[in-house]
Amino acid sequence: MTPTQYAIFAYVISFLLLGGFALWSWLEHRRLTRGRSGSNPS
Amino acid sequence: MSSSLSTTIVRLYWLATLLLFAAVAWMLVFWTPREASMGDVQKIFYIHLPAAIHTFVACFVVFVGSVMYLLQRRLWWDDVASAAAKVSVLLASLVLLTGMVWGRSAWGHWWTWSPRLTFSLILWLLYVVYLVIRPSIESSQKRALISAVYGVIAFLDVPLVYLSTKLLPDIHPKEIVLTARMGTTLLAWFAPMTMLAAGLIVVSFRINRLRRTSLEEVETEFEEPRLVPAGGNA
Repeated sequence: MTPTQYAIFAYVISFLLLGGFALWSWLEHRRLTRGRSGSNPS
Repeated sequence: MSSSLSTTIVRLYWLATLLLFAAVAWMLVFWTPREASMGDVQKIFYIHLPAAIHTFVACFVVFVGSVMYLLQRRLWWDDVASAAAKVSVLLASLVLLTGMVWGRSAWGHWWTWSPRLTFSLILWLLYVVYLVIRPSIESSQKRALISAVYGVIAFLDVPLVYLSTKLLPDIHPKEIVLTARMGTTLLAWFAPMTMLAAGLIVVSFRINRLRRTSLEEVETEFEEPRLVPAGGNA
């Protein structure tokens, strides 16, 4: 691999890691807030 | 503040973070000069260093949350500490992975047991263990107490990571000479990384609070029959 390919590889795994965690957090937050609004009709 | 207004603010915050990431990625590819000796792999530095600094900040938040819990015994602080611990592990993983890729290209191997790398791996392990042991403790007060004591002790590794290259012989660079454009790019990368780290700590904290509230509601539901006095008019 060339230095450029190593750099691209590092940024790809970084964004996958950060994006994956952000997506999981968003989905979990949405699940919990929707669950609450669903259990309390008022 | 109304619910729709706060939702709009949150959406704008994440949109701004995303746009900033797009802007700094553009700077990195089209504007920042290539380093002479290492080539493009040196560009890993622009995400590696902000991630490392924010790992320290997140560990410090765990430390503050832990100390405050020990002083006040409020579970709110335990939720702060555990939210920051998740982000610490995320960012420390990022630091280790980007460092390994950089090392593979610059030094020819993925890993070496240099003081900086070893203390960084220990830091990652310490906070992984923090998150792994928490669910095994059933009582929330006991879990918070053990986590708080652990969170204070785990933070002792942060100065060791920072000082390792200064006090001990290490293959890890002590400092990197940057041109004006390189310095600007590095500073620019701190903006979205700071917003992302802060945003993720807040979201993780909100998740912790929602989970705790849901759990307390369930526990109250199960405890309610005990509140009815035997033979009384409840």
